[in-house]
Formats: sequence, C-alpha cells, structure tokens
Amino acid sequence: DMVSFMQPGFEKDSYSNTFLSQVLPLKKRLVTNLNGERRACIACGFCQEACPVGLYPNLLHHYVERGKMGEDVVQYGIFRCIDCNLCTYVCTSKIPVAHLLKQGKEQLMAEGFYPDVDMASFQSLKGVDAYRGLQ
Amino acid sequence: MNIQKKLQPLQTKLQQLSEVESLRPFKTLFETAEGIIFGVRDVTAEAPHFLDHIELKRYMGMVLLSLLPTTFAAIYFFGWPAIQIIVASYVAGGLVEVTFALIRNKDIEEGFLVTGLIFPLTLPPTTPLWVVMVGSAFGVFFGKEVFGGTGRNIFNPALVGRLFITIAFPQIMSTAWQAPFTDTVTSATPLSVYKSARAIPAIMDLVLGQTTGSMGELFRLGIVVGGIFLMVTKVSNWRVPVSYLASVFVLAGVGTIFMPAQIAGPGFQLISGGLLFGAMFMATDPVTSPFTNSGKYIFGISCGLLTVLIRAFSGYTEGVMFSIICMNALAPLIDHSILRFKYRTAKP
Repeated sequence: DMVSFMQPGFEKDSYSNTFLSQVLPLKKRLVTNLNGERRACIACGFCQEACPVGLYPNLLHHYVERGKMGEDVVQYGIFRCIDCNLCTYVCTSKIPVAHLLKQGKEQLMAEGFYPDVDMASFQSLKGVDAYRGLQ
Repeated sequence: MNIQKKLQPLQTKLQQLSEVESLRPFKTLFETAEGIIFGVRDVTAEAPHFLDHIELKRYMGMVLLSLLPTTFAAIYFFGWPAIQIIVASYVAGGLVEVTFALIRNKDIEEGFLVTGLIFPLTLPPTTPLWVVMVGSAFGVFFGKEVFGGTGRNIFNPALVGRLFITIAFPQIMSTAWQAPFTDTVTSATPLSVYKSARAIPAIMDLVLGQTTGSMGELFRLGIVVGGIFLMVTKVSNWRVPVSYLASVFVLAGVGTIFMPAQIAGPGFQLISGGLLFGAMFMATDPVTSPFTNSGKYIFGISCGLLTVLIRAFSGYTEGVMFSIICMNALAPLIDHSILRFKYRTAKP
C-alpha cells in the first residue's frame, strides 16, 4: 500500500510496538507481502529476543553469509536451532535469517561437523511415535 | 485505493526509468523513490511466509518521531538558524550517502535519516553552516561509509562528526554557546560554571531548557519523553539508557561526598550537559552497542563511569561524547568476551 511505513497500521501485527495495532484489540491481518526491502543487519536484537532456544541469530547468520563455517559457529549453538523461523518473522531488515541458518547447518554437516547426540535425536524426532502411541 | 490508481502512471514511469540502460548509474535513486512512495509488492518465497510489518523505514521513522520534541524545541528556541543547521547537515551528509550508494550500486539505506538529525542537535546554535556541512560529511564518510555502510560501523557517525568539529574547531565548541531567546554568545555552560564557581542554575531552567547548551540537549523533558517512547516501542533496548543513567547517578552520588569540588551532585549531573540526549539516543544505537544483554549492562555502566571521570578530572567540561566513542570501540570486545564466557562449556 501507499507509503506503507507511515500508516498507523491498525491491522498490522508486529513484534515491535511501532504500529497502533497493539493499542486497539482489532483483528490483525496476515499478508504474504515482504513488507520492506532487504537491508543490512542493524543488530536490533529482535531475533535474539524472539528465539525460543536463546540463540543469537543476529550473530550466527553473519557467519553463514560470510562463509566462515567452522568450530565457532558450532560452539555458538547453531545446531540447537529448531527451525521455528521466528527470527525471520521479526527481522527489521527483512533478512531470511532462518533460511541462512538452515543453509549453514547443511553446510556444516556436509563438512563433517555433527551435532551432539542429544540434538540429533531431537531433530530426527525419535521417540515421537512412542509418545503418540503409534510405535 | 483511489490514490494508488491515480499514481499508477508514476509508478510505471519510475520502474521504466530504473530499467533504462543510459541511466544505469542512477538506478538506485529511482528504486528508492518507488520504494518510499509505493511500498514493496514482492511476496515471500519461503517459510515462514508471513513476515512482521516492521521495516527499516518504520524503525528509523520511530526514532525520528521520538526526536521531534527536541527538534521543535530547538527551532522554537533558536529560530531560523536552527532550521538552517539541520537542513545543512542533511544536505551534506545525504550527498555523501547517496554518492556511496550510487557508486556501490546498492540501495540507499535509511540509517542516515537519524544521523542527519542527531548530529546538528549536538552543536551550538551559532555554528557556521560550512562547519556543519564539513562535520556531517566527515561523520558519514569516516564514521560509516569507510567501514562498509549501514550496519557495519564501529563508531556512531554523528559522534564522529561532532568529535571532528571539537578537535578541528575548538573555539566553536567551547566559547560559542548561546542561551535561548538571548543574543549574547558566551562560554559559560552549567557544567563549566560548576567547575569554576560551584553554582547550579534552577532545576526548572535545566529541565525546560533556558540555559546554554547544544541545540538538542536543552529541552530535557522532551528528550525523556522521546526516550521512553523509544523504549516502549522496543526500538531501543531499555538496558543501555537505564544502566548508563543509574551508574552516573550512583557514581556521582558517591563521588560528591568525597570530592565535591570536582564531582557534582547526582541530580545536577543527570540533568545537565548532553547526558540525557546521549543516553537516550546515541548510546542506544543498535549497531554500535553490544548485542548481548550482559554486554549492554557493561556498556552502560562503563559509559557512566567514563562520563563522570571525564567531567570531573579532565579539561573538557562534557564527557558524554568521549565516553560513548570509547565504549563503541570496546563494544565488539565486550560481546566477544561475553560469548566466550557464555559458551565456555559448549562442545566446539
């Protein structure tokens, strides 16, 4: 829509409280628009606050973007990412953070860094069938 | 919807212009204009197909909104010179920013909107226009562009510009202060008067801005309101300004008991000088402050310590700018140490 960044935004949902949608209890509308152009990461910290696992996506996606796959990224917990994509949702600069993290995980596994045994079992959802009673 | 249909020819024209081969160097300008007026029409291609409505233009727009009380107060106090200085800063810095965007063939990023307003608000109202333009261009060039543009700078570009002016034109920053609604140009600011005579002006004068000082720091009530607005909208993190102001309050309270000649009382220190402006708008700059939460506390407390020390024991009467620049240089180290400490037991 026109001058979208200056609209009061009664129906626009947002993690930051910058729209008037948080003030009035109206129904929010979900759109599949990009809602902004891709910009550089400004370390606003929304992804870090939104991450349910407590990672720093604003740090980890820089490693993937610049191709520095190594021990540091693994130590900072990239394999604990559960692919919930909340970091991409809240990103102010419209960076596909979760996509970059997933790419990073695939690159690391191709190079031979494997996650811990605990994390691997979590990611392959072993035991879910037993939990569901299906076995 | 009607307006959009009426302006559809304009949008098509802008899109056509950005495709023209002979205007290839100016493609960025047309794309920026189209993005500002018409928004983005692309849709998401991958999970999580719904995205937050916040974008960088809105983010910077919120910072500009929170700076409006201070700006209007500066214009009300000083009139036409204030408007001239703000416009000169935007023009000079904007030229540098746009030139770099055109050369690098990238989008014009919105970080400059805030820098262009913060920088003139730290200057005295009698600054000559050419000094403002040189300082703004220097700040954007050496403070941001040489590091790689928005998001990659180490130092706050407005503070780099102000630092350059302080060192290159020292008479302007120390002797050219002017109180609102008067014509006398003096060198007496509340902090320098305290150093020489230990006299404190009335509290209401400091809060509402009837003393001398830089254009933006005068209307302290507006600064506090703007800062709280930024914290409520989550545009700035509350940890940095709260820890900065709390540490100044505590350190000044302790120091004034032992050395009242150099260290002023906590209440006076909080509302004098550029402390509120620096704490609310400059220390909170997300790019140059640490991103870890513990790092933000350390950053705020160290800035407070440095501010009290520089105000008390150095030749400069105002320590906020130097303390924030010093801590900007140390911010990556703080983050690195916190990360190494936090992940020390994780398997590499």
